[in-house]
Amino acid sequence: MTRRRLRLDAKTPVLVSRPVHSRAIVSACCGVAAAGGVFVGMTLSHAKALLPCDAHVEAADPSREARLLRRLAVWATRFVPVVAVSEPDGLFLDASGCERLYGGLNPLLRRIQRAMRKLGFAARLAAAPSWGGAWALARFGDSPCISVIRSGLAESLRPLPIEALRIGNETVGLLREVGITRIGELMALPRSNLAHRYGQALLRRLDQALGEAFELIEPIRIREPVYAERLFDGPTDRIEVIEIIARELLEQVCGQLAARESGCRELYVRLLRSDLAPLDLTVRTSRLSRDGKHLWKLLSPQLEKAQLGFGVEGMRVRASGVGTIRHHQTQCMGREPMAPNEETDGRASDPLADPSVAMLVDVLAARLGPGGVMRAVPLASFLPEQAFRFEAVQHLLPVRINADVVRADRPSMLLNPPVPVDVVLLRPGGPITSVAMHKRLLRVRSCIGPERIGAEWWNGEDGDRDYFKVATDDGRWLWIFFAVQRSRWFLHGEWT
Amino acid sequence: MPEEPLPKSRPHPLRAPSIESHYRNERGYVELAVTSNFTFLTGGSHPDELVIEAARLGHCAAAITDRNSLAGMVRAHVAAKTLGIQLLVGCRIELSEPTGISFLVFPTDRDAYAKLCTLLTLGKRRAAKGQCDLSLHDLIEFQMGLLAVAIPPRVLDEQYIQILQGMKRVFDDDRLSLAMRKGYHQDDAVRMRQVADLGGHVGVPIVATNDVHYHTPARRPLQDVLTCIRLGKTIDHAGFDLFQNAERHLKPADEMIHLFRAYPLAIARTRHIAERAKGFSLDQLRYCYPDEVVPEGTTAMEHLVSLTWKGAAWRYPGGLPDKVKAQVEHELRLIDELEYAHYFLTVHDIAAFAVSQGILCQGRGAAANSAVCYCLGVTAVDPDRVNVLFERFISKEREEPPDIDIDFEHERREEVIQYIYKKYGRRRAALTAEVISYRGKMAIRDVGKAMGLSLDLVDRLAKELSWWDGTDALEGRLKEMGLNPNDPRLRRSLALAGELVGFPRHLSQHVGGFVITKAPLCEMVPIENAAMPQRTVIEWDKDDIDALGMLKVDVLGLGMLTCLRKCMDLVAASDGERFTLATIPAEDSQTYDMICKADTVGVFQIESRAQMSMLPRLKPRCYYDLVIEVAIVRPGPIQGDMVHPYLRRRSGDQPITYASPEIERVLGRTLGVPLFQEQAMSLAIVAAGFTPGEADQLRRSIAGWKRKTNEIRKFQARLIDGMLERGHTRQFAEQVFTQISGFAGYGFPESHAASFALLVYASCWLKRHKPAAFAAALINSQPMGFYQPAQLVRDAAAHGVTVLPIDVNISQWDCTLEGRSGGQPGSQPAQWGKDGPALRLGMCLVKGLSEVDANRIADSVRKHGKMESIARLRRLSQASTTGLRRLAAADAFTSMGLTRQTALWSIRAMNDDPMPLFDGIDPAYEPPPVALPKIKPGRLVLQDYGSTGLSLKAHPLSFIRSQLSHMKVTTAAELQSEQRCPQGRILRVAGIVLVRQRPGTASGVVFITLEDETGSANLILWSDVFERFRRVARHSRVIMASGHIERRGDVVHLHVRQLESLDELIPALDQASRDFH
Repeated sequence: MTRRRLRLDAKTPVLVSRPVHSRAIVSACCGVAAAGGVFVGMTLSHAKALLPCDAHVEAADPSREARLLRRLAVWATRFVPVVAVSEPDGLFLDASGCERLYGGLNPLLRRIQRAMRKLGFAARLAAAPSWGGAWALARFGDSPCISVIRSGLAESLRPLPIEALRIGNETVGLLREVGITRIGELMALPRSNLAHRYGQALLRRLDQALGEAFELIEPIRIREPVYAERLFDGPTDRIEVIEIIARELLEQVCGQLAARESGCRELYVRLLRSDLAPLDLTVRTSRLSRDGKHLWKLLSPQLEKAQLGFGVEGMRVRASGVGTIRHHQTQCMGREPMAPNEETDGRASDPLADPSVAMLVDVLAARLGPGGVMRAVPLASFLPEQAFRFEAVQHLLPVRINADVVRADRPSMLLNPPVPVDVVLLRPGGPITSVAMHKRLLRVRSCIGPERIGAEWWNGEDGDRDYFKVATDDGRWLWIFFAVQRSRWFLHGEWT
Repeated sequence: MPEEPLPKSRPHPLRAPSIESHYRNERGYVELAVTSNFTFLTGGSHPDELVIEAARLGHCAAAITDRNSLAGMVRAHVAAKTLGIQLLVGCRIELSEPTGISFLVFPTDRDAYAKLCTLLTLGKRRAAKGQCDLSLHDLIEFQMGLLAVAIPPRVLDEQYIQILQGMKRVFDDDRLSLAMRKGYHQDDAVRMRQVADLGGHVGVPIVATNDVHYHTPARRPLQDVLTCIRLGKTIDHAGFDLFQNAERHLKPADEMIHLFRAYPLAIARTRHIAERAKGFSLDQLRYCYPDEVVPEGTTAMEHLVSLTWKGAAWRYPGGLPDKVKAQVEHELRLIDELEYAHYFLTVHDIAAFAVSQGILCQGRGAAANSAVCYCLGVTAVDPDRVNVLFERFISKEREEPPDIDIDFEHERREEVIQYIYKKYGRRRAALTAEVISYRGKMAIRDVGKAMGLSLDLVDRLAKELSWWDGTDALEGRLKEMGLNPNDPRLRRSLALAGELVGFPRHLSQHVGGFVITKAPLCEMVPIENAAMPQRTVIEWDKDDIDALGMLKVDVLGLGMLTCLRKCMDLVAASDGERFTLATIPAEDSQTYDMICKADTVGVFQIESRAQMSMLPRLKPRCYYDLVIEVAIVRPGPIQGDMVHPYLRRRSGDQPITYASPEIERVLGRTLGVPLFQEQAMSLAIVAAGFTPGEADQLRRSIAGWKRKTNEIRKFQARLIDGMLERGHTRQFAEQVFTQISGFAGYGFPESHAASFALLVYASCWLKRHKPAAFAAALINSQPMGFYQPAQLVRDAAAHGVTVLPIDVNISQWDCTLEGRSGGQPGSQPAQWGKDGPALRLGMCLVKGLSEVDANRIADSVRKHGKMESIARLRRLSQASTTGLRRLAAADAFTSMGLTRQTALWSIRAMNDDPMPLFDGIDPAYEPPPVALPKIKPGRLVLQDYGSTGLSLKAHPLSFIRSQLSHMKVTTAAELQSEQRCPQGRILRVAGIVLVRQRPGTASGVVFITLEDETGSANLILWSDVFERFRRVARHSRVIMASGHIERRGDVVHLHVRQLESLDELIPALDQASRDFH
């Protein structure tokens, strides 16, 4: 999978690492790496030393892997109806009763294996009359595709190592100490002795593998997508009709969301056009929403502009980014609005946390297009031009504002880039007496400074600046600085 | 108005230069708020740099005021003394209650200084390590004689005004001032006005400061980076945590006067404070020796003389040799003259305590190898045996107390330390600090992180560039690593890392340097808590202590002493012969025979591969040869290229010549080649006309990694010119310089080598004559040395010692000896231990077994006799089942007729519940045996390795010998025979990796020792071979190597050309080798 995604060639080894006590440990490796002597559990640096060429290393992400496994389980329901996840790397498929659809167990296994290979997985499969037996054979059997019937089960499990019983590493170690390495050897010992020494769990696992004890699996349940669809009787290009249908579909989707106590962040609207390719419209909100009116406000400008061609035959609406909306009570007995639920201190200060502002931003963004709405975010820098940044607010989640705003007095308007000016000084380093601007000499009535701001040497800049706040006799407050390195004066801003 | 001359190299156009002079003393200025880098990760300059800069700028005095600390004061003091400028000893007290309030304080006399030290000690002792917890009330309590400068907080609120009013009453007699600063901020003028108003309102005079954090504006980047390191931020995100500009440096007096032209009295006030602080200087700290060690009614010298002669009578029962007598008299005269009697008595007191407790100890270092120390029992080096010259170790010119380090058994050193605390009290004895400074690797790592380089890159840089001293070939190195050497951020980071090297990072405790005083120590220097509980550390390190002439004794731990004491105890118990370090027969020729053959596994110092390969060439035949052997295999002599000339001269291949008779006096005992640090110093004095003081500076620059490793280059011109002047050739002069600078890496002083050599000899003698006891003592003192129990056991067995397995019915926790010496041991190495006692392995070798369980079992066996079943053993000993299980895994139940498998199977059925109720009914009941699968012998051996790290059954390699023979692999035993494996033959050996060593000096050569069932083989890997087979050489447990044979006497090496891993042949050999010491 990774190989295909990153277009790595077949010779590059792929390693997955996970940190254990501040050391990186190999938690999985590909066949190429395994052939080079890498095994799961060795340190990453050791593994890298073993491999002749640079390996591709990825950090293990258990939650992502679990999600992937779940998706695979959903995918596997196309073969059999009952599928369970076996953490961390397996699936149980209940094929009882389904064999006949495929002409027997073996064709089914081959079919699943082929499909898995297409997806990019090298899967090992085994079919057995017990869950435990299938688990053992799939992992420790001598072939990647095995099917066993009840009478042959015990015999085929006998040569497998005891790890195949799904018992803890500790028990495995204890059994190995006394020379027991295979399931067959375990089966030969008196059961009472085993239970006494290694606990009932060992016997239970043994029985589960042999199909003599009952075992439950928990099949996955698939969640229905939030989805609404309407096919028209014939193509229509009447915008009013389309709008009515669209609003209906929106209401349906919002109804479904309400039933789940959730909202969505994205809405995909697909118009099936009779002569053209389907047209996809996307609506994004800055907060979870299931407000039909609000969503309609965002969708309608797009619909107005949509190229309908000869007409639309149908419409589908799907919600994405679905999450649970926490309810806040806003009113009590029709009086006193309750205090808004402040989630975190940082967010509380963010204007986007206010729902009405968020809605306004959504509407503006929908009208003006992506990147049309900006906001200023303060940054921690002494340099005035770097003390803030503009960010697009389009589908921007509320951000935490960390930076302090600079404490000193700063002008309300900043010139970028600064404008070179000429000044006249009373004496070197002393107050400014007049400034030449627009070929006009402005006399200075008062001058505060200098404030010296050091260069950001780490960005390769050089030279301090000495800033002066001056009041000119025409009543303006200017911000003028002297670039020490370049020995020149600039106007950088003005209080207006 | 005239303007000032400028401090910066680049003239600041805002201030036009003028010709107005510095010479306006009445306008002088003193900077009072100076933060040095001993306010860790805050100040950007060394204290001495700040003092030197203050002197250069013509300040009337210099001051250092670190936050709640005096740690950098001695360094500043030394610098100020050299420059002849006044130093204001001071401190910036940052209060924790109320927070954010700080005061600069300066003592005006010795008593006030004692108050300040006590105050700081109080604050530090009640806070965690490295912190200080002081309230306003504490400051008020200890204010007597202190001058204070209040540093106003950002907000001047009502509370602060009240504090200031209160403080004004407490600091009466005009001792309080209020600091004013012009920092080129926007609100400077307003702020200065506010402070002036506040001062006027409360009636406290204003004083000018610049809150200095570095001595020149060029240090601003470094200071910014330090801030980032302190806060754990990157420079791009540090934002307002950095200072706004580079103004916090020392400014010339005239510039300060100009900046404070509106407040001229604030400048005058700095001079006023400096004048009043003149009453105290660190020179007033006169050190007084503790006088407990002198009994009443006698003087220290009288007592020392009587102790010495008493000791001499004990050391030489047969009468004192004339030579020693003369020596003792001479030394005593010198001690009297220099007034060191107290010092020797203190050392003697500590050593005498150790002897009374049966703790083995051995003094070393300058002065330790004197006849007086021998008589006092501080050292066991007999002055009759070696030709020690006392003056070599104590010089009249150097006004420094003598230096004696005492090594104690590492397991019992704590007893000695507690004795010192008990005798002198915690108020008067404390450990010295060790200033942990930035070295290359750490500097690159921290700066890299602060500069926001990726962690991966930082790791690689630290690994590859740690040795880099900031001078040469950086570009090449970076290109090799695939980096762009012109990348500005990278360049900047490396330059800053270079600047950071040598900066103190934190204080740690010295391994064992004790300071003991007569008066309470906390009145001389602040004391803080150490990381270890129950330890206190002063703020100064040993150089500081030296500079002030305070008494210091190093109480160190040495593993080999533990081992030797245990060995001598075992010998005494089994043979009835009680040895001490001094009574081990001297100059035994059989012992030297063994040393010459490099048969030295496990002995002190000369057991490393580098030492072992030197032994057959040096062929030590007497004690002094061992002294040389200990010192010669060190980076110093190796890098100075002194080893080969010495060996050639020794073997007679090269004539022994001296450039002059004086040089012969210095180098005569080492055949004209300087091998010891002292010789390098004497050479500088004799050949280049250094004064002893200068030679001592040279020694200091050599001894440690001072700030820059190339500090020694300063002496180059001085040394070479001096030698040319005295008529030596330039070639000779340069050779001497190379040799001396070779010691810069790591040189060994003769005084230490002499003490170590005695331990080398003692351990060798015991190994030669009492091999079983020696092996047992070594295993019982683990971990120490290069070798693991498996190798020590194998080595003992190879010398004829019978080794018996661990058994619950016989073994103790420690290894023990069984039987007594029989007849005369043979002369062949394999027979040395033949008729001696057998070595019974102890339960300490069993992995995971607790000492408590082992002792319970041993006790109950002693009480009830041999046990015949596990159940009985368990019932009587009350040992835990886990313990029994570990013992079973180690196959320790054979005397009950149980194998590991059956023992484990039975113990598995037990649990740690209270004893069965019916145990009286059927104590011998064992469940009927069940048929367990059979285990292969190879697997059994691996199980032995798994639980005890060794196997007496068979060597793992013996199970794959047939496969190995098939691959034409020679055994280690065959390698020894010259007929079968002559010089230069190419062949293969295979074995388990015992040791991998890469000595720092051997230019990347790696030594690997392999072991097979017949013995061990020594491999040498040149760096190119190592790089080629890096993966095998670094990680494989079992290796097959091919290469050609090199024979040198009895020592055989294989120069490896190819390596191959055989790990798959012996799976799961879970034995870690000792890698890369």
